[in-house]
Amino acid sequence: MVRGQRSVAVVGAAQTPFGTRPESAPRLLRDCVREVLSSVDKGIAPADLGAGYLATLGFGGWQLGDAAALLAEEAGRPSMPTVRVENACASGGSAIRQAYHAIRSGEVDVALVVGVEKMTDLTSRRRRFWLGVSGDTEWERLAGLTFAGVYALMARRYAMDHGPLEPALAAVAVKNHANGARNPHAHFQKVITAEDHDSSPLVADPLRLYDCSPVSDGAAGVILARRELAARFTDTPVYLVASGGGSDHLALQDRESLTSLRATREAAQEAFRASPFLPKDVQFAEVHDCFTIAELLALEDLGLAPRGGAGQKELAGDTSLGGSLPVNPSGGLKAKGHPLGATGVSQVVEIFQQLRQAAGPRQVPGAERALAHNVGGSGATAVVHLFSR
Amino acid sequence: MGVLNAASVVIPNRVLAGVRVEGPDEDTFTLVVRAAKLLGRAEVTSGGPVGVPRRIHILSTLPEAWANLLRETGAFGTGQLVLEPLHSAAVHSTLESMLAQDPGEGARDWVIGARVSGESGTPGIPSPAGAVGLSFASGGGLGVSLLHAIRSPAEGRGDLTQELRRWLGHPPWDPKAGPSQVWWSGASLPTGSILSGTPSGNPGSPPPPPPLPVADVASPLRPLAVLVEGATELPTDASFGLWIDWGAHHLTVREVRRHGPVSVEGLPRRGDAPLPLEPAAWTARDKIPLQAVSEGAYVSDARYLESLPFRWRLEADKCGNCGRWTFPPRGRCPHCGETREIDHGRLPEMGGVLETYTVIRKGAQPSEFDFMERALGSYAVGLVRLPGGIRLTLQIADSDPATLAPGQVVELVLRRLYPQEGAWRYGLKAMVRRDLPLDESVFQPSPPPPPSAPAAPRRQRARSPRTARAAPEGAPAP
Repeated sequence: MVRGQRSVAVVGAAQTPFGTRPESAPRLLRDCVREVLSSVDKGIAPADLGAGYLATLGFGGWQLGDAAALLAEEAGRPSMPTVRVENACASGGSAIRQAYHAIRSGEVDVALVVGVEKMTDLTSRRRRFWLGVSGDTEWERLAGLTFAGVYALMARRYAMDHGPLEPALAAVAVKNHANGARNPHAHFQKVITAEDHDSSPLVADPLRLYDCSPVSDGAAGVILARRELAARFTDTPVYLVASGGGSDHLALQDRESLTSLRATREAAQEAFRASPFLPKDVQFAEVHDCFTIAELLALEDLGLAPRGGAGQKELAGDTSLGGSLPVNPSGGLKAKGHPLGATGVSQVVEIFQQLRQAAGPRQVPGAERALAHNVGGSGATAVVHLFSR
Repeated sequence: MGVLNAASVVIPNRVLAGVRVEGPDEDTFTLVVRAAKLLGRAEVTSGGPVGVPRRIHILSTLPEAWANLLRETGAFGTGQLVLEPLHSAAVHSTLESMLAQDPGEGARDWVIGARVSGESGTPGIPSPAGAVGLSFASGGGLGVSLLHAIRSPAEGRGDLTQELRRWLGHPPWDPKAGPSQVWWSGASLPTGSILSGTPSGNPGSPPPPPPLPVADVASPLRPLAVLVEGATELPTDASFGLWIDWGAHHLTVREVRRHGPVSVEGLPRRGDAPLPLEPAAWTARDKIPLQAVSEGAYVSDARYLESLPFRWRLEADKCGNCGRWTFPPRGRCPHCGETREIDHGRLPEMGGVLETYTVIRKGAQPSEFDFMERALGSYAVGLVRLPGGIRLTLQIADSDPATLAPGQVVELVLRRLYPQEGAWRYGLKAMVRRDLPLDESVFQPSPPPPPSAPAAPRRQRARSPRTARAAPEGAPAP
């Protein structure tokens, strides 16, 4: 195999606004599918679609079983083979990976991938239940842990290894909010200060409210096509040049490291091995910052920062728009929002727009190569995708 | 009482320990288990470890059917479990039957009496404070001591507290009689003394009342007890450990348990105010409707029961090939892949080290843990490293989160975890051993993981025209 040669093209991408939305899950799905189809420069017909991948946790249980059929229906091609992909918060990235494999196998020419989640229409109790279904149930959940709690365990260990952490966490939050303020689709379009972060209430020590991504509604979709077919749909495709996946023990207690996600490392390794470029060639990244500490871990596990050095990079402004390696120009999960199944797809929507120089006020100038990193749960699954113009 | 009074019982070896209900995650079941584990660890100085009893009488509200669950905890060895109802007649008949036995060499019975005041048996309702009494009889004698601390003045006539008071020669306590009192007694012991953990040893605690006059106590049940009645403020940072030196016959009592500051703060609350101590005064809003909890993370009864050996007894695999432990046991070594040469063992409940922890703040807890939030506001969860390198995710029991620190040594105790479908689920929690120094080994930096991505591609690089164009200046040569 020649590296990068058989890459897959992204020919269309769109998302609904993220946030506390009035629309229901089926309605978000419908709106998103329409926008994705109409985002294709030269148009696309339902008959062009060869397969559909629906990424959703089914939050709230609105259609937990067989939901993918709804995607075929909304796409106007009810007989299209579809499957629901569920890897918790990595559902979106995992669905793209499935589509990527299907296209590279030669079985599918064009695939529609949509992620959707509706999270805000539940009562507090039901929401707290659903927020925890993707962590390890027997050991973590039923010891009373939440996702914030699991990441807090990692954060405290990280601070034990690498020293004071709070300024770096605040820097991540401030930076991602600043980016979100430039993104009309972001859940939070509000600039915050480090003081705002430091004075927000503790959720799970040492993590504060402003260390956490929000509970959001939203949907995002992309259309992937065999590289050779891309010109039928657009003159400016974005290429998905490599995909990597990895897993680790579901429960943190079973993992070798508390301060590094093996799933991310494995995924990055696989992606970079198949890729025409190296970590140092990545010009910007959309990484999985479900909590601020997660962005630090991601930069290190992806090879974008030295071990223990991600905080310094954040504090130095390297990861800001205009820095040497902008991270989460979309605002990330932290500010753009985190509608679980939609999140990983939305990262690719951002990269699609950035690499087409269409990201408006948050454009990374001259961006040509980007990385998307999507994590399931507290790091039990991860997907890394590499893109180039 | 008659038989007991007539018997001239010598108590050569006796172990007594008391355990007090601390939080909403304790109940009769956890207390009995705790008592048994304390006894199992206790030492009779003149006779070595307590060892395994022949028979264990459990006087409590536990139904007989719970004997199997008790046995699953691993706290009772192979001793015969006799579950008996908790009322005076049963207590007396048990004691009488013990007295009637020939206390031959090796005869060893335990009596564990447990009572949680106000425990209604209804899951979802936090238990108010209560206590357990336990005793140990060995060799040529019998010892029975009932330690029954309550906070609820709702106790009526004929309960264990009043029984104990009678045995102690103290007039029955009238709940209306006035202020709370904390008192203990050991005055009638030949050379007895209570050396540690008494309220007097703790600055800021109420001054200890004088020992009760007990000379006229006819009962052979010596008043070796700590009794806390109706206290709204319990001894601060008290250990209920009693260390008693009794002449040639040493009684070594290792309770062992230390409490953080204890006050009504630890009790269920109603809004900003403490919940009334009397369960009868609770309104429906103070109880947690169980059906609302059942939408929580679901573990079937079958899975729960099959997991008890490792959940409660810490059974684990040890690889016969590479020697590493696996927990929970999987029948396969994740380190070397061995599936045939797998040995089994139990991980130690003592000596774990808190490696990292977090505090789940009010309102952020999973819905199954609303009862903890209601009672305590917030609770802590940590990763505990056990000898052998195994990590466990455990709630941290009875701890003021502000006093936690990585490196603290913990022991594991059985507690209520969460209610599901009308029943409590139990599991281990970590209890900080404040009497032990920090284990500094957790501060050694984590070993660095292997590099994330290749510094240079392993395969020969070949570029498509597009990627070649995209490659920056100075990209590594093929």
